[in-house]
Amino acid sequence: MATGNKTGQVTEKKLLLGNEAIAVGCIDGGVKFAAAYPGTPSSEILQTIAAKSKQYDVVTEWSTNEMVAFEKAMGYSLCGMRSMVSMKHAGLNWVADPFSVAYLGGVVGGVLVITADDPNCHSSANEQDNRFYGLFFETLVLEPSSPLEAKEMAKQSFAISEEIEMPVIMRSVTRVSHARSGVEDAAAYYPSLEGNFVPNRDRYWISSDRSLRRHRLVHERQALMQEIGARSGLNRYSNVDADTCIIASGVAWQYVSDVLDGTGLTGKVSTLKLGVVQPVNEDVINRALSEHDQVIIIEEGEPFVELQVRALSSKLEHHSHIYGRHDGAVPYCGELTYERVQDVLAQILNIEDPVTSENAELRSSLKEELDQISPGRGMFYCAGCPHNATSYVLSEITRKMDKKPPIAGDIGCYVLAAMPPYNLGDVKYSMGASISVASGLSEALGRKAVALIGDGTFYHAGMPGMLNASYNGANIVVLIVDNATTGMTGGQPNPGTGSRADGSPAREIKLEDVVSTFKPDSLDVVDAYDLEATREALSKAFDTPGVAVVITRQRCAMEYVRDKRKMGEAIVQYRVDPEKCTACMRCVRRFNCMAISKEEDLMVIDDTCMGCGVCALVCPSDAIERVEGGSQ
Amino acid sequence: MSLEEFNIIVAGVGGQGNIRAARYLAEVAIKNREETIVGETFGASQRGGSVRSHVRFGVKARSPLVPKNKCNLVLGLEPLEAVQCCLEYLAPNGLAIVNTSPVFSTEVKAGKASYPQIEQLQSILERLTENVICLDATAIAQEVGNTMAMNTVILGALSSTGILPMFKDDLKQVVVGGSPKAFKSLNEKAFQRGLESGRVVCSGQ
Repeated sequence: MATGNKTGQVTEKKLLLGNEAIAVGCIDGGVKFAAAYPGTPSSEILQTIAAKSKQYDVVTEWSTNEMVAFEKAMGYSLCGMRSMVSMKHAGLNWVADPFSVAYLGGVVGGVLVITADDPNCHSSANEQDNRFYGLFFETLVLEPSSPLEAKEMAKQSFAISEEIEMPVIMRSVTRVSHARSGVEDAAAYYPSLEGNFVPNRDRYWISSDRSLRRHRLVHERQALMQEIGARSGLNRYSNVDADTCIIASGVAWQYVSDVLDGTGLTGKVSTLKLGVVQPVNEDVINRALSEHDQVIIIEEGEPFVELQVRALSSKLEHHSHIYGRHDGAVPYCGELTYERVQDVLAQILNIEDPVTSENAELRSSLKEELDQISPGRGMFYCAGCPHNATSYVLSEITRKMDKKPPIAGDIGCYVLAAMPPYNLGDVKYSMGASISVASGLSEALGRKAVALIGDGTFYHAGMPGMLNASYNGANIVVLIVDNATTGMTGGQPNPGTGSRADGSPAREIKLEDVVSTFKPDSLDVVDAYDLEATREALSKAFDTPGVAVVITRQRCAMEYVRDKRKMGEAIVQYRVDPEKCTACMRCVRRFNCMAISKEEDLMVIDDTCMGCGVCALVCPSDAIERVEGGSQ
Repeated sequence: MSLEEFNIIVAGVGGQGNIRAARYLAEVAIKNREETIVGETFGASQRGGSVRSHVRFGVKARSPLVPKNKCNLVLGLEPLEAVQCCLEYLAPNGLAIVNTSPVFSTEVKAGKASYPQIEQLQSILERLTENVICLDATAIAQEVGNTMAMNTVILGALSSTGILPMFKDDLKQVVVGGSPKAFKSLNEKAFQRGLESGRVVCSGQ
């Protein structure tokens, strides 16, 4: 469908990812600085803006972490330039510290903080509901329900931010950020601005007396936020003169709409769709409560809107019954689905979608039959992953120890060391926790503990723990697995890779240089595919009291393969010599590569082999050899 | 011409071009001015886990996941994944187009578990629905020149069914048009072979 935009161009609707739509919305809203740290499900936002950075004159960067990204964005904002910071939910925990003071002074150029939450923790360690940060810091929170709405909200957010003089938070979730639908892929072009800094210590240099004054001011601004919520057009109240009103925000609105259609209730219950969820608009909530006997609140995450609605209801004389999570009507934990929302309405309104219970018995018995014969489908390292080789050696060495050292892991592809056959890893929390947790473990136990951390994670969060280990002492092996990329999130650059978000070259800040600065008791750098060298380095590290660092380094296998394919170059592979193979299965039982499987009585290497050669080193029968030529 | 609601799930494992196939379907719909939403579920797909792309068309399809029992079409890029998906989502009269070539998980490859016989899987599927098209799309893609074209073969088979007019008319153009230059000719052949194979079904009809 073609429509015109500001520049008069006619544009077609394109299939856009929610994050791509958000990126376009930011550009269309006049963003001039965009910063982020990779984090699922947010990474594509910055990637998309970066790809368009030259066309639209937007400075983009992968900052070393989210806290830095936000602080830098404030620098731009104070000079009058609109800026955006995006992250997964955990990133906002990092941003919280500078935000907690910066919000008091406020913004000049609008600031949008985008948090892409992960209900059901598909790609995260937890499913925290970041809308609460908006309540905590008394700022406006927008919650889009679709890619199209996310684009529109992102665009509007900068003007709103400037009106309230505070950063605005937009809370997306996986089902919006990673959904695709037809959206216009067009944004207006805003030429580069020259930053202008007007000193204002009262706002920007937050001392405690100023802080109190500003805090009072921020609180008084809530009235303005109420007004903005009302005139934004982002809340939609449809009163059909019914007993029941359903209040829904974000993607929950889509499930509600579909369930109402599926149960024949469309037009028979009232609905209130909220787009501004902090603060919720008091007027419309009061109307919904006064005009209905019961209100059902459906939202993704925690009872955030619900808490506000219950608080508001206590001020009213008419009390309609409120259904939500607090009274057990809506389940806690895990994400919403059509079926979950349907169950809620079925319980309260005694109605259901006839289709969902069709031939339930047949399905259930067939499922049982299938379960009996289905193998699992676990995840594992990609064929050729250097972390696989490192995990193999670590497993080999620690298996022989009487007292196995506890292993604190971190966030990255190497968490797969916890999978069989290695089963390595005892504690895993958040970015950078490995080194400090290992330090604590080592002191409490009086012996070595291991920290397993990747290059990307180290640059993000590993340094404080590393410095503390050296300064306060610890007895740890710090095993840094360096695949020269931020891999788990799709392969973004970091300070060690020599390139930046927009593709421009960057200073290479080598891991070993950073680590040496912290004066470890030993430091070795080895080729991750060289099992013998890794063995030597790790054994030495375990025998070195204090902070012993080993960096195992080799390029991410996926990136290697991607590049080879792009250049049309052949990938050298390995094959099993059927004469020599005894099918001892060490290559999949002690080591494990996804390219190797057992066929009849022999091991076979398939086409996903990328030629790392580690299996050849593992094989006790010398039965694996390199093949010249290889496939495409 | 607007659809009210039509639901598709592309079920497979990581690395099979699942998301790309789903995108092509969605692009055909957008071209035909249908409301479209695509959602995904995955278990670390890059590293061998399950992938399902939910593709929904129509004015009554707003949430990004297909409701259970309401999936009109399952494209199974992998047989076990296909059957598991159908049992959960396929509508009683829904159509399943299934590639019979399995992808073994690490458990199976390491000899810790065994993969079911394809006949067993077919038997379970056929008790759920009469509308099944089975084909060894991987073998066909291999014949055409590259197993990576398996998803295109399946899309060709879909095109032959005429289940939605727009898939008959526009799908090939979107697939070939959207292919990287180096793979255009391969995909054109793969699509054609899928189209021809789709006309030979393995169950009833």
